[in-house]
Amino acid sequence: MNLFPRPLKVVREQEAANAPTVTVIVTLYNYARYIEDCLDSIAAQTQLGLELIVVDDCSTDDGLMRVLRWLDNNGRKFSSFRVVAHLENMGLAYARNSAFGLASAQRIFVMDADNLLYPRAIERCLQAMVAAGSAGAYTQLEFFGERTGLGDADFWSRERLKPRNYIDAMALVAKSAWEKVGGYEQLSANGWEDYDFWCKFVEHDLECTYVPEVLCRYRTHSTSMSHTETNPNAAALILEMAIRHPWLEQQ
Amino acid sequence: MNWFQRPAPTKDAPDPRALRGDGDALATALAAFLTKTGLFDREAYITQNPDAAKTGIDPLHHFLRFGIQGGRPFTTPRTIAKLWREVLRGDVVVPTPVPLSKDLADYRVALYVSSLGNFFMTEIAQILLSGFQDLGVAAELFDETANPSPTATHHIVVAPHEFFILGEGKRWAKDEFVSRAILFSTEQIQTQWFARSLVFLLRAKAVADMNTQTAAILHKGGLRTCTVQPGFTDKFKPFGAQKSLAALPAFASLATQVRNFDATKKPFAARPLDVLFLGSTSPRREKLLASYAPKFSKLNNFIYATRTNRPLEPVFNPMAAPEVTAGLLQRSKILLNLHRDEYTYFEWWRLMQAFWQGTLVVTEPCFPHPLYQPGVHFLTEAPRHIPHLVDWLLSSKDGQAKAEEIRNRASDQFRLNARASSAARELLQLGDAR
Repeated sequence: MNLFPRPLKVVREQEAANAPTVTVIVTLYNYARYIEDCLDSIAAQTQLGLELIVVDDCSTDDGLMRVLRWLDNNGRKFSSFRVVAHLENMGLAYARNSAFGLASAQRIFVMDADNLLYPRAIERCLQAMVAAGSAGAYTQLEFFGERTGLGDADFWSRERLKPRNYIDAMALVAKSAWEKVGGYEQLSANGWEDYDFWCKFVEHDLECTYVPEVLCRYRTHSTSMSHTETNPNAAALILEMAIRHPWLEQQ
Repeated sequence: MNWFQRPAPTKDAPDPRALRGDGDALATALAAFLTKTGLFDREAYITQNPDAAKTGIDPLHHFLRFGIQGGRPFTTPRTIAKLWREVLRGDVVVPTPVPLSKDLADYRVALYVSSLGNFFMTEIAQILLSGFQDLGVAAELFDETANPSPTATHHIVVAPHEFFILGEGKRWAKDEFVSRAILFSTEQIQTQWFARSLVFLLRAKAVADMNTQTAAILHKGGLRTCTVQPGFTDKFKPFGAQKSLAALPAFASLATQVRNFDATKKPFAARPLDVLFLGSTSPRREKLLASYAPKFSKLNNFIYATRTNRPLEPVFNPMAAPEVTAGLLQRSKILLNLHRDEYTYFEWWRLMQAFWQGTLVVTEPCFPHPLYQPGVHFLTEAPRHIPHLVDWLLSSKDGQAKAEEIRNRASDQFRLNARASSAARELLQLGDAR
């Protein structure tokens, strides 16, 4: 994990009387047009006792303002919340690490500002994670936006991770697991932080539980960075991943 | 059959020369089959395989020499539709099998299935084995590492497209064995897997097919064939009622009340899972399942749509076990059936397992089946309206009553009239008299 403190300021916070069951972290960078829908879908969760943490990674649009305005009307739906802003852009990996570091709950649901949840998503992941006694849980995704369809999610398997990533970052994760693997790391290019994160789970003998229901919604953009065929940095990333995780078998 | 996606053809594809004998004779037999059935579409082959067109070789010859081994597309929905029309109009009638010529005690059956293939092929083989036992016929099950049984009167190979191709199965791809064997074919006729198995089907003593329409088309092509659909037997233990679920990875996400649900004798409405879907993904299925998410996300579902592109082996996929399918079906109100592509086959293996476990089948319209009718034994709806039907079945009194009625009728029909022993008898008849 990065040693230096990330330059950030707390923009607004509301402390909780009781410890939350789950902290939902939302990383925001220039997604002002999507952030309110994202937050609405979190506020509509059936799971009670949620803490919300939003990390604005130095957006140049009015996303942060929209978050604050949204909290004026909806903040009371959370047991606690905290909005922080990076003073300079640090990238997705470190923005997530900032959010994890601030989370009060032991289980953390990871969201990007352009994605959405169906109301049962967090409750179901929590139920599965507890039932299985695992380090995390994730559901199948519904792709929406540019392209519709289903995500790649499937049962947790080292073998299955070898050729390519099939588990999105949108998942419930134990804070202790995040700590154990050293958090998210900045790779030479963006887009594969999640793949790297799950590979480290494998290396630390941590497992997540697959919930075979379509409960999370992944917005597809024409410039989506997650897929090999659309990521212009794929060649560099494959080389980097080969060094980081020699057991992978990417082609 | 396409419950789960099969591996793409590899260099493991069969070499027709592996069938000892005259290579020309095999090519002639293949050409005759394709001509008689009209299955091979010359124009479509050229359009879909432009490199073949460039060679200047006659399309049929190109397919026989290269295409069949490479799993090249060779037919079209239009061609299949023409064949289906013939079957439905009664132009192609598969003859009824002749009665058995010997006492049941005189038969010795050897069943063979690959240990390296999809797990449900082994299920099929085991259910057939139980069927023979129910019938009082001596039967044994072997895999590709064994040798042909010296005492068997009937050799039956389940899923020849896997058995003769994977691992040591190649050893068996010889005329002296294939010509004595009854091949139990499971693959839809437009697929590369069917094409892979065709060189064996043509040399076999007889071919049993799990699908009525495919059997009719094989018959039209001059093969000795009949439809065999393995069904109910209480000897197959993995499909028995599970009072609670074992601690298997496939069940790890399930809530305690789902796992501990006693699956014996409970009404429809008490089952804890609402909708179950099990299958490989395809563009069509993905599109539909994604469009169902807003409504289905409110229910307790198990939607397993996998992109796995290798055979479904237990070591690799926690879903690859009969206890898993059965355990989930027993806890689900509705089995959702969506066709993989535009071929609307009646997916026997999937649907019969739902009938077996008393799960209501909700499906897109399927090809007609002699034993099961839509609205009587299962429910059909246009894909876009399936969520509406599901909603009515789950949430209204009328819907629940209808669901209870349909699933019980299907279960009775299955347990009484689709027995594994009948399938076993049909296989004996098929391999019997010349």
